[in-house]
Amino acid sequence: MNTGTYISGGAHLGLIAWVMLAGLFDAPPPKPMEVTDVTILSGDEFAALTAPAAAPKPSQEVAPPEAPSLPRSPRPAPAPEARPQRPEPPAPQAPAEPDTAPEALEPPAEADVAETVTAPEAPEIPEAPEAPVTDTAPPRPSTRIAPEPSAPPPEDAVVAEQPSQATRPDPAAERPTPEADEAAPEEAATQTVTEAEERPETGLAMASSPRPRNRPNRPAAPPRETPPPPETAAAPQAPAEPDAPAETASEEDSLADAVAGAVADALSEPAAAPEGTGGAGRAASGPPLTAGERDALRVSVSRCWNVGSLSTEAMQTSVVLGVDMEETGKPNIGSIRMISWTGGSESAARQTYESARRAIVMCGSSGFPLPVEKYDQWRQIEMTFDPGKMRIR
Amino acid sequence: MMLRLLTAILALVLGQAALPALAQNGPLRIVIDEGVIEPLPFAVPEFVAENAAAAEYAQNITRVIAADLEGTGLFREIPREAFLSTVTSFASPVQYADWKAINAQALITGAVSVDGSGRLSVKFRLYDVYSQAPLGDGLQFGGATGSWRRVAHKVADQVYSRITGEGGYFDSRVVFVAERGPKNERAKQLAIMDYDGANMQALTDANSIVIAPRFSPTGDRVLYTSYESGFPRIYLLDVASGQRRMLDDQPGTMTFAPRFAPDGRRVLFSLAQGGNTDLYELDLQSGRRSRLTDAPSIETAPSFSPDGSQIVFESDRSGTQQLYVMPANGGEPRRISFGQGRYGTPVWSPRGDYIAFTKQNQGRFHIGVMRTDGSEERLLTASFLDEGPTWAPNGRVIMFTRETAGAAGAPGLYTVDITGRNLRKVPYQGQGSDPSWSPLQP
Repeated sequence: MNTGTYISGGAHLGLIAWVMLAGLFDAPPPKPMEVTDVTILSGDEFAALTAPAAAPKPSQEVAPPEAPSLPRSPRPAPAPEARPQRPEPPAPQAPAEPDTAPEALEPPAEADVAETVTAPEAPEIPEAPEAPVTDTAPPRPSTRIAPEPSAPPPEDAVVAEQPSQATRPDPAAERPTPEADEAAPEEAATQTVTEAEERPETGLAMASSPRPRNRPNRPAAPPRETPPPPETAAAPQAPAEPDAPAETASEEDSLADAVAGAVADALSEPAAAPEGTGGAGRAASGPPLTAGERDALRVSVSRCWNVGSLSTEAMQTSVVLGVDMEETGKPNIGSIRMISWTGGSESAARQTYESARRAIVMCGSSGFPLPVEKYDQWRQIEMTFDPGKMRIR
Repeated sequence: MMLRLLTAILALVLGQAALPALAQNGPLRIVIDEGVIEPLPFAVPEFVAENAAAAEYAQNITRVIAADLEGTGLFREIPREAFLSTVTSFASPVQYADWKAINAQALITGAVSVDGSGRLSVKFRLYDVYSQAPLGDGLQFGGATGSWRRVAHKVADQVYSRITGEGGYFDSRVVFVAERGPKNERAKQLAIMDYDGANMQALTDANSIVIAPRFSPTGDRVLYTSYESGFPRIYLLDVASGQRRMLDDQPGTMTFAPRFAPDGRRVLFSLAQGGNTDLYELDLQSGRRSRLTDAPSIETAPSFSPDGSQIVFESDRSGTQQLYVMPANGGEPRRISFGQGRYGTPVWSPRGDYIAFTKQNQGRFHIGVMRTDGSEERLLTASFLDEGPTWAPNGRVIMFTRETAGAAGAPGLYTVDITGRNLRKVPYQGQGSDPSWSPLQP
């Protein structure tokens, strides 16, 4: 019991001694005293110091800069060369033109207007009145970029580093024969058969299983003018007889020539394809339009085909229109023509044709959604307009 | 051997890459079998008044033309506030781009003048804006200033015909039964008016009940049934003079439901005698009457086909009221209506392709059309009471009577397109029933 008391008393005493000796409750060290210089002022001096801080009064003494007098006459067209030559602007004069300016504001006749906008001759340009109203800085001296000033080029000329003369056809020279597509007589038949008539009547099932087409015979090589020599082939005609190389050539040379010829021949086909004949004159090239692309065209035309004002007979008349298309997807309006019609009189066909023509013109004005890379596929379009399904029976 | 094989393979590979996937011969072909059915937008700037006396006429004629065309439901007038161009001279060139910009597909320009003798002259031109060309030649109509509405209707008829390819119907009139008074004590009299409700004139007084007027093929005479004598009798009225006479006055009979033959010289009608009603034909010149049907049932409401070779009528010979077709000179009738309900008041279209009728089924009345063989039946309206169809001269519009329900119900005249669209009330202020549409006026 005493032992505990002793230990407790000793501990407390130790603690008290530590607190007192460690300075736990000592005041923090005083901060360094800040010293400020003070100047003693008198009342007059203080008033003199605070007087400028009073609210500023509007200064009426300061006159605003005078607005420069504007020449009321229409500003003549500045002559570019006149400005650098002006040594110093002459003193502003009371211009005579402002007196005539109000007349220009009145509604004049067209001839008067034309006169007011005509630039006067250079010596009579009153340059001085413009100087005060010029907001732009004067032109900085430019560095010399050419030893001799050259005359301004013609308006139509294209600026180029090397001047060149415009080439014009020499009427005396013999005109070269322009490259033309291979011509072929237009396909003709004893009767017009449209796609609509070719559709099978027995639903969507295939009536037959056609064999894939044979590759069409390569058309006879048309006479070409200076074909570009292929870099990889020595002679384009070489593959025409690949089985008959020169017997005297080595086998390696024959192999190289044949391969080069085959490559040149294959590469030359795309260039010849658009000009080939396909039975109906020009054959289309490139991949065919997908069903979606055809539907897009069909929908584009359909939404503009208004049959609301067609007669009942016209509603039973189907017409086939032909239209030539531009590469932009827009129809050539002048090429729209009626190819044939079925089911009604000529008058009714005319009504249907006019409504169909309006549809092509209206919705084609911004171009139909057709892929430009397949332009040869839709260069010419035949549209069969058949309002029969919309007729109320 | 190796050389040939390598050459063939290489040429095949490169050739396949260069060839088009599929060659297409000729132009691209597509079929458009769907479109939209919308009113065709047109613009009609106010006609140019070529002198001061024509100013009011120019304004009124322009309004009537626009109302005629828009009333068909086939055209939509573009409001003048949208115009980008003004037409100050009939001879000035058309600024097609301005009209195309506001989507005007047809443009009507015109000029009106009145000379010193009071004669009105109206000339017009119709343009297809998207074709950028006139649609037909310019035309000029003349007449007295009092007939300015007819002149306007004729211009509208020309426009309608050139655009739709069908004849117009604006310069026509309607004879009908004008009614007034409460439902249980209604006064009726014959009246005539323009197709649009203007220029209404009474043809008879209201002292007796009159029903079922019918125009002659030339529009100068009217057949109708009157109870003036206490029994229904048929009368023939000359529209211009107002003179009338009773037809086939046979004691002990009742005659009603008359209708002209296409030649205008004969009249079909029903004659009730001894409790039986049959169809008869009367020659107006000789007064000779011939019987066309002989059955114990009720045959009435006959109507000739336009070529005069057949007659359609209603009969209850099958136990219920149905439609029948028979040769004009008599013969065995052939039933053409087989739907549910009762069919009546058949009228052959002036084009000969349809028969309009009234149908009553399940407490509702309908105006409908069907092919002359009874096929393709189509109901155009439905209401508390629709009845009495009559064809417009072009066979595309039907006018009929519609009576509202209730004690305060009143009959009115309505028109509907044979497609069932564009149901409109004829702008006639009073009550009317039993319309008969005239042919186009000369």
